[in-house]
Amino acid sequence: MSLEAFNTRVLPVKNKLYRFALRLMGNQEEAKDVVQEVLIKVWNRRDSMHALNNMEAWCMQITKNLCYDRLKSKTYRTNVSLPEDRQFEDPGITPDNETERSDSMKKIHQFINQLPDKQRNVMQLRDIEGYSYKEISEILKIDLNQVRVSLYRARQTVRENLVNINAYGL
Amino acid sequence: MDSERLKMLLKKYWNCETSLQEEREIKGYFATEDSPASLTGTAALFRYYDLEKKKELSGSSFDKEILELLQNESAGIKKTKQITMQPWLISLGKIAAALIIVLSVVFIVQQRTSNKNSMDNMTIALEKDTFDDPEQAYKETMEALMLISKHLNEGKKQTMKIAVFSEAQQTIEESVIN
Repeated sequence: MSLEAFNTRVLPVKNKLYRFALRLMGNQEEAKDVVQEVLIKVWNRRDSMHALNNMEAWCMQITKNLCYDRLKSKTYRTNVSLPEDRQFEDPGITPDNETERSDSMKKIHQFINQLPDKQRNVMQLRDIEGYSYKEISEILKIDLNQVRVSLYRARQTVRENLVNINAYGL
Repeated sequence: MDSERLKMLLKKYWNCETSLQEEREIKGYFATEDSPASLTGTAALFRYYDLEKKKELSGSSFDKEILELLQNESAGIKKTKQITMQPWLISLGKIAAALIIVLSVVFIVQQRTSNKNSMDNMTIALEKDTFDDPEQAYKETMEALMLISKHLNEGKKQTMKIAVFSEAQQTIEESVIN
């Protein structure tokens, strides 16, 4: 694959990779770093890429794996130095979209981030990125049934939370 | 979209029975139309999905950075490729190794046979007489034998000491048994 082909075929996926990495890492800089690393990995393995029938799912899979690797070493590091809970960070806020974010958006963001990993990942891939169940099972390496069950649980939990805050008014 | 259809789609959505197309329809509805007050939370959720999908990497600077990185990488890759290109070198190595084994076997065998030849020469040399006068030969032989006998006796004296030890050991063993 030439650099040009990479530019037209792989690079357009970058934002999907970025959003997935951002969901997992909860930090823009780290997410950007991960995307760079993923793209370099893909480039280095470009010779074996024509054998893949779903390049995008493969890139997403690499993104997930890299994020978990980093999170593992990160928890290790923070355990030794300063403890920090990424759930309490409010990720992804830039001056650009800060004004767009209302209180309710922040709350929903929190609900989704507080879901168990698998449910949160499935929800990100389905409700935000619009992947099919089959693609999600490929990316997360879980079977179709687990995708359905995780999504069902995620949606139910989010719905219950929405009802709760609805009662107090958004 | 009429409220009946929306209700039906949302019910399907919460039960995870909607298709991607239907989910897009719901998103489209909440993005464009004012939702009824009862659906404020749901509307916020679908707006959230839309907003999240708009998060992007800052365009051209990232692309430029990554393309530069990849060019550097591919320069590095060529070096590693030379390493991966080595199968013919590996087979060459195999042939060389086999040759070394064969040659060393040949060498050892040759060495052995030549050693044997030189041993034969030595025995032939021993069989030759070294003295012309039988009297002198007898004297020399006696002297040599006496020397051997002397050394043997010396050795025997030392072994007698050991015999004392083993005798002592035996008595101890016997006393222990009794």
